[in-house]
Amino acid sequence: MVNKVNQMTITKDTIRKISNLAKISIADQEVEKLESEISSIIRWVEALNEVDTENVDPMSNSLTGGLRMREDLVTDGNKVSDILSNSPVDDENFFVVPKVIE
Amino acid sequence: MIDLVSSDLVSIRNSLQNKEFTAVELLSEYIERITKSSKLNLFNTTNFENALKAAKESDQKIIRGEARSLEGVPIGVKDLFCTAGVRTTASSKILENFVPAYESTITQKLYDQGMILLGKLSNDEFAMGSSNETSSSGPAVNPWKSCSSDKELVPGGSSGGSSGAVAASLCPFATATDTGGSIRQPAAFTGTVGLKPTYGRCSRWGIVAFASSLDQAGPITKTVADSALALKYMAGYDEKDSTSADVGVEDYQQFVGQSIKGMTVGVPKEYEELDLEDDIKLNWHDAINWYKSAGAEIVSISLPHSKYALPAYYIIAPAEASSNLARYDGVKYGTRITGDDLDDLYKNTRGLGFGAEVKRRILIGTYVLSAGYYDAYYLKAQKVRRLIHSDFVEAFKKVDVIMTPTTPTTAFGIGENLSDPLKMYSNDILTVPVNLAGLPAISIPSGLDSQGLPMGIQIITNHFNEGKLFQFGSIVEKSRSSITNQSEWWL
Repeated sequence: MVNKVNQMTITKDTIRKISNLAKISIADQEVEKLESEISSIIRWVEALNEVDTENVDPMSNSLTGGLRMREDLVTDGNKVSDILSNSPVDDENFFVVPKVIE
Repeated sequence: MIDLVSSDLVSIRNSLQNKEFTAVELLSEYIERITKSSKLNLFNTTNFENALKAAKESDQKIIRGEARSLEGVPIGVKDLFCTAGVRTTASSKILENFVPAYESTITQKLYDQGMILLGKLSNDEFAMGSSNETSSSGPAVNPWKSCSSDKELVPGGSSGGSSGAVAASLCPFATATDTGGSIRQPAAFTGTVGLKPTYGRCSRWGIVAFASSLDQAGPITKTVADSALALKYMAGYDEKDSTSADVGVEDYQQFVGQSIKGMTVGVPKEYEELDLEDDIKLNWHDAINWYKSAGAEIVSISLPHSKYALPAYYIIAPAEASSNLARYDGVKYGTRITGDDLDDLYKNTRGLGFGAEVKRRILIGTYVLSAGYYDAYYLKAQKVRRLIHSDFVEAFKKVDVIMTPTTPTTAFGIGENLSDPLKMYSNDILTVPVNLAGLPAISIPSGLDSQGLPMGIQIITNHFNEGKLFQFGSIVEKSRSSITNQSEWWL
């Protein structure tokens, strides 16, 4: 199977696009460095294409029993001051951010 | 004057309980030594005032005969564990003023046994690194130096503050975490014992998350017996962690020094082909002979997919990290850097709050999870992860433990590998497969190389069989030549 990623190269635009998705501002002079570093890392991880994984199930964790569920019960609460104790800006028990709606 | 250098966790615990010295006397000695050791840059935050109060209470308990199992014993905690009322930074600028309102399960369990928090230990930012150089508080320094050079060396990472502090006798036991080798590699670089328990063995609740399917907490100590004692009190089911395993905790100390006669040690043939330093290869071969002499059978095994572990890890771990670190947005806690609008606030906060390695990994994680690439990278890596896991399942049908070196090299110089991410990543080649398979493993100091630097042997066993790690670990501890650090150059 030849997949399209083998033809895909990482460009400066790719770096700008993923940094926008990740909500990380990247200075212009950083873009070039990241382009070369991330390209070489991605080329290196593509070694996995050598492995035949036909009929192999993906493994998301090493737990044998899967994730445990519990009853959806309230176990604590009334911790407003704890929750706000590290907030950069808050007012009347709300976290405050710059205005979003025009 | 208490000889902290020759003391270990077990001896300190016993001396306190036998009233040979008081908890306050012991704590004062540690505080003095930590203060004199600032050159090593191992602590992000100290907790001396609270510790002194706690030590006084411990002394009262000891006098009244109410001492708990680790009463009055000081501990260093990796700055990734949330500690109520004590700043927890993950060595990141984005959390530089974060003071948790809650306590991690592990630290709480240790306090419940009477342990006293000395302070928070440096690590690579968000545990991403193999040298403790990416910490926002600057590189932590290895107490060991090569006999032929005066250059400062890294203590390994990401738990370099923990390994350095135990190696420098600034605490008898430090908590640490291991996502791809972050307990075992720093232990190997500093002549300490580092244990990564089975995934699910120790609660992750209250530990700053890096890659949740791989992260696991464990102890760094001076001896195998100390590691066994520490695990007993760190391990256990926790309903607050949905991946915590409900598997009984044993008295691990009973395994220390137990005979291994007739048991089997697997040696992976693929690892012979790896680029290992000569002294490390020789040391590994020595260890094979130690096990033969102790009556074990050596079996050649195959881990055919292990060479794909590092690339698979560098897809899976960044993918999980990019998701876990989405919470640092400058809104609810942590550093905020404002901009023209909310989007700018997010981007500025994260752009300036995260260091270079963390940003690189978030971007890689974002890329491999993004539309069009998910199947080719992330899903592919998860399939390879299963094959790596299956290799181990096959191997453990034939052997009790697998033995390898912990690292391909001994400690390197500060700044030497920082500019080449792939070279830095290759340091974890022997430790990463274990995390992908969720297995327990330990690194035991196994001698000094020709430069006088510590080397480590890694022992891996099947899930929830930690006892065997202590049983086989004590053979290395008994058989190796002395590993005393001759110079305390930083004092």
